[in-house]
Amino acid sequence: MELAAIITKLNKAAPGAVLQKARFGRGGAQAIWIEARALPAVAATLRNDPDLKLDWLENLSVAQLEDALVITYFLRSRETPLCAILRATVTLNENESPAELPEVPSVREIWPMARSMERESSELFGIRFGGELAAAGILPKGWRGFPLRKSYVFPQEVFGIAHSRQGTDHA
Amino acid sequence: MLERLRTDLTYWEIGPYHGALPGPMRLKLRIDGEIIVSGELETGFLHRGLEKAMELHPWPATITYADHLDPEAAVFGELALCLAVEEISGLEAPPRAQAIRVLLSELTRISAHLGYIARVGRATGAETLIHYVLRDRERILDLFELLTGARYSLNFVRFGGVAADVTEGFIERVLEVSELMRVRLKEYNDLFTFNHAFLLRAAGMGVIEMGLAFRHGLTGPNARAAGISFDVRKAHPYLGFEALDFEVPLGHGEAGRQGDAHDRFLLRLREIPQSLEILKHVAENVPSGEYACMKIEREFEVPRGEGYGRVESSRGLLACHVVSDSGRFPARIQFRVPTTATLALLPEVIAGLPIADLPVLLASLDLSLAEADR
Amino acid sequence: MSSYPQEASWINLLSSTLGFTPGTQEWVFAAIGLVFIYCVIILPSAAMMSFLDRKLSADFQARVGPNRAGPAGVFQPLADLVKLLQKEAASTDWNWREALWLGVHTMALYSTVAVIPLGSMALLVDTDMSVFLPFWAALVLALGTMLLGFSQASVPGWFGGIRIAAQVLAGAFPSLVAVLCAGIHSGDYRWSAFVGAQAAFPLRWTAFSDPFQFIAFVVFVAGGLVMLAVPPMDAAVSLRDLHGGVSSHLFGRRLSLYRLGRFYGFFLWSVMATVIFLGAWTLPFGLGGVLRTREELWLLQLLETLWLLGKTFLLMLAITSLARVHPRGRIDQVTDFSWKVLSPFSLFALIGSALWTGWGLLR
Repeated sequence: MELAAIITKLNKAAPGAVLQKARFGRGGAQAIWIEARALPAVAATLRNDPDLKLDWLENLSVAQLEDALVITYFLRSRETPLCAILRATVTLNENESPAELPEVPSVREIWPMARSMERESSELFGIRFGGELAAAGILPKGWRGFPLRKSYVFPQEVFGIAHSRQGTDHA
Repeated sequence: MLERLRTDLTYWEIGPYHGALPGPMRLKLRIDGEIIVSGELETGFLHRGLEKAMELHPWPATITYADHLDPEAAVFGELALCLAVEEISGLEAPPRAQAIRVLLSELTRISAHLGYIARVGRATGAETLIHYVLRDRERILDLFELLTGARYSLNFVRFGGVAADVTEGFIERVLEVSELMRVRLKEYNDLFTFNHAFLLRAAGMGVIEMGLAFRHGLTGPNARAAGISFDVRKAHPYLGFEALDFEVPLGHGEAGRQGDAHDRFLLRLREIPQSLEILKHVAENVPSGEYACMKIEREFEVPRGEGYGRVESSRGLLACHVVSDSGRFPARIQFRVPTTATLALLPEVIAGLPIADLPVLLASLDLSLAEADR
Repeated sequence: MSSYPQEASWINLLSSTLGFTPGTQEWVFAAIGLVFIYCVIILPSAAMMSFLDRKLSADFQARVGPNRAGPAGVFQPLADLVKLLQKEAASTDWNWREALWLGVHTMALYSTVAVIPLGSMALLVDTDMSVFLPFWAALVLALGTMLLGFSQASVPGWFGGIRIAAQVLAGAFPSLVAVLCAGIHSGDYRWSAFVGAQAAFPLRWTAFSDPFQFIAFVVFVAGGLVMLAVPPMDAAVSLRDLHGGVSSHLFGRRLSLYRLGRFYGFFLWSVMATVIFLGAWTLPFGLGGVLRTREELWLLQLLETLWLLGKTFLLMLAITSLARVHPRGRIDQVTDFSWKVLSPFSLFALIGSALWTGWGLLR
């Protein structure tokens, strides 16, 4: 299935959801950028459309580019060799209160395997998937900050143990 | 009378450290007599912040971290990272380097599967099997030592190639070891695979059905034992796997049901001869030429862009998403590891099992906590 | 059936050797005998068997085994013992329940030293109940071990305790029936009767005297493995699923006591199997008769004990070698095996050997 045809389908199912298509990497793969708000509708279409059946969320990757979090969904179908990449962005505003953390609709009802991936990204990036901040249990209880954000400041002391990051050539 | 016996459920917490666990994790079980009613899982005890650490180090140093993703099968992490970075920077590994990478990756697969067999043997109390298998895994670790100087953390794959050319005699010894493995596999089979007591323990136990496997995105040998024919080496060929002739075995439930613990064990045993086949073919046809397309300096920079590398690790689909905003440091390196899916379906599999089956089940799932926690 | 002269009993032998007056109480001799057997036979046997087991299994498994303590590692058992004895308690809380039940467990176990048959003159107690005393001890042992597990208030202790009790009950029944079979053959349940019914030549051992006795022998050994949780029937104390069951909370001196007790159970069972089914201590080539007529009683006793122990060790080694290549059964599979396989076979052997013996008498 051509990417253009997928986009046509998406435009029909969720008008205004698709922002653009862009090249992903050098391998000729294309990514579909969508509005984060429209994620559930788009995901449901991709999964349920009989021509697409993208029912397998292979990977959910979050990356911070400047002050935006880019969420990438690597999708594939278990029946056809079709693969697709879905991307959405949320903006970060620093010094946010817990209620103002960026929110992205959850897709775990559509792709059940998203549950553990969303929980992990939620804990390490401070994204509220589906409105809640999940704890995957990776960080110790009471840990402050979201380590994978660029603005993360390493603590000087952890549980009474002094901690320093001298000697690395991090610019 | 019955009410006064207080027959309510017992709560048992295992871990984070326990002999039956594959790594540091905590299992919170509710048990009714000896039957597990439900189980919850807590992981994260082995979180080392690998992904964050990679962002803080120059590009060449990230390989060392990728190597620690799964200490038991170090090459796969390195390989996924290097494939992704090569995609961004347009580097092409020369044919000789590709061949060496295939050799390393298949040797690692065999050694990881042997480790798996030993763990299943340990869980079922088959001591002799453990020692036989570990003795033979030593031979492969010796090969790693000969090639890379290390036995576990190889740190050998580089962007655009490998760190060094093959050592003298390495190829011959690969062929020798793969011949030896063939003989040994028969030994393991005779000793253990269809042993009555092992069948009693493993056949029909801990069944992962196809639907359950799909729901959690399970990949690798566990998924293939459940009947899902997905192998990255076939679906997205890398390192020239498209030109190699090998089969992807599937589970049939020969002794019990499709996707049971015995199927998972058997499937790994069947994958080893396939890897041996690949090893033999590649080792006999190693192309001459360079082992790397360029020397990677400390100041190596990756242009702005993104790459996604997928490899079939010994546990399943291992993917690496690399984002570079140009410069000496990566913007983001993310790993998709197969164990996440296995851990996610664990609570559904353990419900209804007697606690005596727990060690065998955990061993048969081949969990790598190092990989899952990162 | 015992045809040994009365003056050759162990009491006369001991009192004449140690120079006691004839009026000394019997219990004094019994106490001396118990301590003597424990120190001279059981402890060295435990050390030797653990060394042999480790060394031989290392050989099977393509590794070296103990090789540091002494030449070829022969002092390894001693080193282990010394290490365990010096270990300090992990917690300073004195768990008196654990100590109490470990004590019960140990006393039940070693009460059987009184009946352990080690030679024609080393039968401390030789009554028609002797052979049943170990069964009684095993039940008390199960109770002690179970409560020892309960006293630890941990899940491995609980399940380990219950599993031990389940295994003892499951294993005791078929082995008891197997002993009855052998009793039909020998006509009595005294050790001397069992010995008298056999000769030195293997085909005249009870185990090979008729097919039903052979079944009874196999059932007796297998039932004993289940009863005493010897590998591969050691689901109750498996390290993997239960962290070693009852022993998971024992350490240091208590652990060494517990381990020695487990070895002793296995040893006792093998001695019993050898005496009842495998020709006991009867020396080959009529050597026993020659020595007895020459009145070389100490030499006779020594040779008999060595001969018996040699056979016992071979039996134990055969069992442990089997365990090395055999995966461990799950607890319910072990008890099922005992109830559903061993028990029917033992009853079959009982009926069969009764008919066989009855037929022989009628003819």
